[in-house]
Amino acid sequence: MALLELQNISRVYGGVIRALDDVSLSITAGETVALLGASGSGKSTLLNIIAGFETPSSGTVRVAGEPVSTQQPDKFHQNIIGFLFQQFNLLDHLSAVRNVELALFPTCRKAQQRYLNSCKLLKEVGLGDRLHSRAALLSGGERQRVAFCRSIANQPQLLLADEPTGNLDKASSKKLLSIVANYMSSHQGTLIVATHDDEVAKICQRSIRLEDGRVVE
Amino acid sequence: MSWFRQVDQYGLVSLIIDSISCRPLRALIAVLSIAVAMGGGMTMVGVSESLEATVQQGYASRQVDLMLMQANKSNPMTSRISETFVDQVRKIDGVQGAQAALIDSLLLDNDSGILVYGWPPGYQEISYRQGGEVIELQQGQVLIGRTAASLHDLTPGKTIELNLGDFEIIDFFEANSFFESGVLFMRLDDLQQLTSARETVTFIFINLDQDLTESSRWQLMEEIEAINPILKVVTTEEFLQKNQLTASVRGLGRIILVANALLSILIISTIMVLTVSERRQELAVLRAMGWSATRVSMLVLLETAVLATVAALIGGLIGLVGMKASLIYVQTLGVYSQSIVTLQQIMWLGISTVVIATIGAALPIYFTLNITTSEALRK
Repeated sequence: MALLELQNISRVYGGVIRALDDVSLSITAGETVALLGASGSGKSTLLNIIAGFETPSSGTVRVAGEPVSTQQPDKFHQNIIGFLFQQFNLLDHLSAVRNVELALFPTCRKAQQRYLNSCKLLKEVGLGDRLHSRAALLSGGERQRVAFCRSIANQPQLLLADEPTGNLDKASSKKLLSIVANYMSSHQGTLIVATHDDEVAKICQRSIRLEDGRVVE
Repeated sequence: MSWFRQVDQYGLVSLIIDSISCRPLRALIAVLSIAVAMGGGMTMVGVSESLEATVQQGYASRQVDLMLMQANKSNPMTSRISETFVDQVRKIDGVQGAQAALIDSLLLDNDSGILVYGWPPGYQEISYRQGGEVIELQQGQVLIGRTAASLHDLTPGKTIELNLGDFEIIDFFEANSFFESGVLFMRLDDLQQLTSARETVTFIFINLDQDLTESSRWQLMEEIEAINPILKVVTTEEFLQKNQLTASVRGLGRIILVANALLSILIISTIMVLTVSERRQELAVLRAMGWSATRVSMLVLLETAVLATVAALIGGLIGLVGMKASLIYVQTLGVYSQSIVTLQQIMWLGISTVVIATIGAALPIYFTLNITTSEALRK
């Protein structure tokens, strides 16, 4: 059964710029998909629409059989979608562990439990010695690993990643990809990653190429 | 810090502290501005209430329970009743004593007006000490309050002209309230003669038996008023409530407190709107992680509340120190006052804090509610 179904999705900005043009695709649970395409091809717009951050101008997005437009946004972002941003979007004044804890705030009432879960995740990605370091003081690779932990903290059904290695050097990218690949295989999670990096595409089972807002292969 | 995690089970407090402490200068400015504004307001209210309470205690020390005056007088100083009522009041059961007093304004040295109290001979307030001996004022003699002495550049030993009559200032009057510090004191018969108000007085101060019950006290008040329809009996509390001077000071204090509370709301609101604007992306990320708009708003409200509470505590201290300092200054002017912190003042502080935090957070929360998750991606 398809976890994600997109039917004739279009997104037009200001009535002029057509970022997405009649995109339809289906992704099954446990699948890992790379969205490839040049800058401006509509990859990020498509991820934003799947995540419910943006509304399509036309068409329907269904996740787990339910249209995204009818889902309660808070619950949808807590339980179904995890999002990994290119710019990490960490709260720089907070420690690594506090950043991960933020994702658990709506789902786990006990601070102690949130703390322990967050520590466990960070240790799993090799940041056990950086738990209490402020995010601002971490390297790019470390920051993206914290962001990854935050995105999977609630064990989402669908992980969306927008150019996750876009701001990383080669070594950090490699490390992050290995962590992501391990996680996806061990949890049989579903991943859609927007990238123009072939190395990222290699960890995915399937690639979809976008060009001028259309699926071309 | 495991103990803190135990206390802060939901982790909200530490999150709020983290958020506030990452902008320490802004938080400090917000807290200090509100504290100074609230402290100023509290000082004014504290001073006005302390002065009022001191006057009240002054009446209590003279064992004045009730004041008899002319009915239907909006300004009690213009009350005029017959001195003969004193004897009638004294005869009523439950009345321990009654003293007449005339208050009027006289022309001092053909120049300016001065308020003068006239009390009957034998009344201890118009006596003074000389060589360990208590001497009663004689006709042609006056005592002067220290503020009045300072205002009119007068000292004991001087002779003054009052409504064309010569009087000698014998001594300072040790006033126990700001009312009396700006006043001259003389014998009742002298003042009646000067004002051509023979056998007329402004008030009759009444002292009651201490073992009277509340109901018999009310009954007694009715009995006193029944002597003549022209009479009205008020308690000292009522008198102070209606008195124009105390009401003005009290009103001014409250107006300043309210104005400063509004200023505090403006300060906290501006600072939090700035903070929220600056943190739009951060708050949008929270929304993207599944934080509801209500939860994000609650975070902003609690941050505002923490700042307002810390500010109120510091403001309370400033208010207390300000009140003490103001009353010490007032005492150098010859106005005696105790500094009294009432439960009402503390309640005012608490209520003000809640109001400031709630109203001050309204605008930032409105901005917060307009933050969409898509903003998290626009950087």
